[in-house]
Formats: sequence, C-alpha cells, structure tokens
Amino acid sequence: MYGKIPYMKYELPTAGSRLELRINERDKAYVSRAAELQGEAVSSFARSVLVSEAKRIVEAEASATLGAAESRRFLKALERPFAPNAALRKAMAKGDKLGL
Amino acid sequence: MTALAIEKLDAARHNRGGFHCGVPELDRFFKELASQHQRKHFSTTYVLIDGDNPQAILGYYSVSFGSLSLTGLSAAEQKRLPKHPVPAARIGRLAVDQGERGKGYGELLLQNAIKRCLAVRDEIACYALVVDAKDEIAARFYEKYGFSVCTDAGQQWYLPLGALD
Repeated sequence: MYGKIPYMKYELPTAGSRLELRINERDKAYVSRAAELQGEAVSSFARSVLVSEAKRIVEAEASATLGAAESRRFLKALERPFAPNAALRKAMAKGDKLGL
Repeated sequence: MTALAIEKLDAARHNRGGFHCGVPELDRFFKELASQHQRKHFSTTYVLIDGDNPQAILGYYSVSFGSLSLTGLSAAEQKRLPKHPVPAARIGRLAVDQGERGKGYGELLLQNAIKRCLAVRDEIACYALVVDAKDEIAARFYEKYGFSVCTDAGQQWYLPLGALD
C-alpha cells in the first residue's frame, strides 16, 4: 500500500473534477468569441485562462522577483548586518519607547 | 497619550466593522477576509489599538511568508545565496483608519512588522521584507524607510534584512 496511493494520485487525469459556474449571456458570448479567436473549445479555453490567472494570483501573493541590478545589491546587503536608514531607525526608536 | 498596543487580530475582541481607511480593497480585506486568512494560515493580521478603547482599530497590517527570486546572477554569485528563492516575509496589506491619519501610526505599524521579522529570524529564515505598494503614496512611504523597488515596472518593494547573526 505504502507509496502506491500518492503515486496513483498523479495518474489521475488532469480534468477529472468538475467546476460549475453561472455566467450572463453577454459575458458568455465574449468568452466564446475569445476562445474561437484562439482556436480553442470554450471549456479548454476557460480552463487554461482560469488556471493561469489563479496561479498568477497565488504566486503574486507569495513571491517577488528582483531585476539583475537589484539582485546584485540585495546579495551585498545579505553579507552585512541589517542596516536601517535614518528614518527607519527613528521609527524603530519611537516604537521602542512606546513598547511597540 | 494613552497606551497604544499592537495585537494579533482577534475577531471576538476587535471591531472590524468600524474600520475605514478609504481604500475599498483594504477595508474589505480587513472586514471580510483578514480573520479567515488567519484561520487558514494564509496570513496573520496585527492591529494597532488604543488600550483605553481596545475595540477600535487604528490601523492594521497582515504578514505572511513568501520568497524573493533573484535574476541575472552568475553561478558564483548564486552560490553565495543561503537558498534560492530567498525566504522572505511579506506585508500583504497595511492601512491606517482615515480618522487617525497624520499621527505616525503607519510607521509604527511598519517598524513593528520589521521587528517581528527580525525577532523570528533565529527560527524561521527570513532575509527580506516584501511589500505591495498599492499607489504612489504607498510607494513613497516605503521608499522613505529604505525599501527599494523590486523591478522598475512593479509595485512590489523590498527591504533587505541583512545577514543572519
């Protein structure tokens, strides 16, 4: 048993579960039109758009990316102790005084 | 001035309905989603209150863990990283009630979030604090305290927390 169940999980077809939703006629016409423009069936178009937007939201919530120059600056900052600027030092001191 | 306090959001104790910061999305998050997100461990919300009137919320921030991806580094530079993507804390939202503006509550919340990150670093690796700046005013606010913009076009800002001790 051990090892088989998680293995089976990955064998399930990707579109095995249903998601139903209501949509007004006008929006539906738009969706159909867009799917047609992409040469896709409405259901596969809706699925791919929905999943990619969901991924974008989840990833945007959890991760950020630095550009190349900023990545290099960050790498340098990682190698020395935390160095708050004057405004932040002042704010932290004010917080200390208030017990916050 | 009475004693201010920053506490973890407690749906039973804090009056979420009375909070208005003026940004509908931030109000809605606080009223409808903050405690749900907390229950589901998506994010934890901390509120600034006045000890004399602890139900009234002066401001809040929500914090979660996430990561920071670096780009364009050489293989040698990559090796200097503790881990990639780099573990980071994230302030998803920070807001002050519109009747309480101009009292420095935003910076009190921000500095508290930073101290919270620094305090847990022994147990949870965390090398930066990432924030979303919803508008230009928010961007200038974070910039003032030393945050840098993640990418030129973006609205995400970050503050490096330096080396682990």
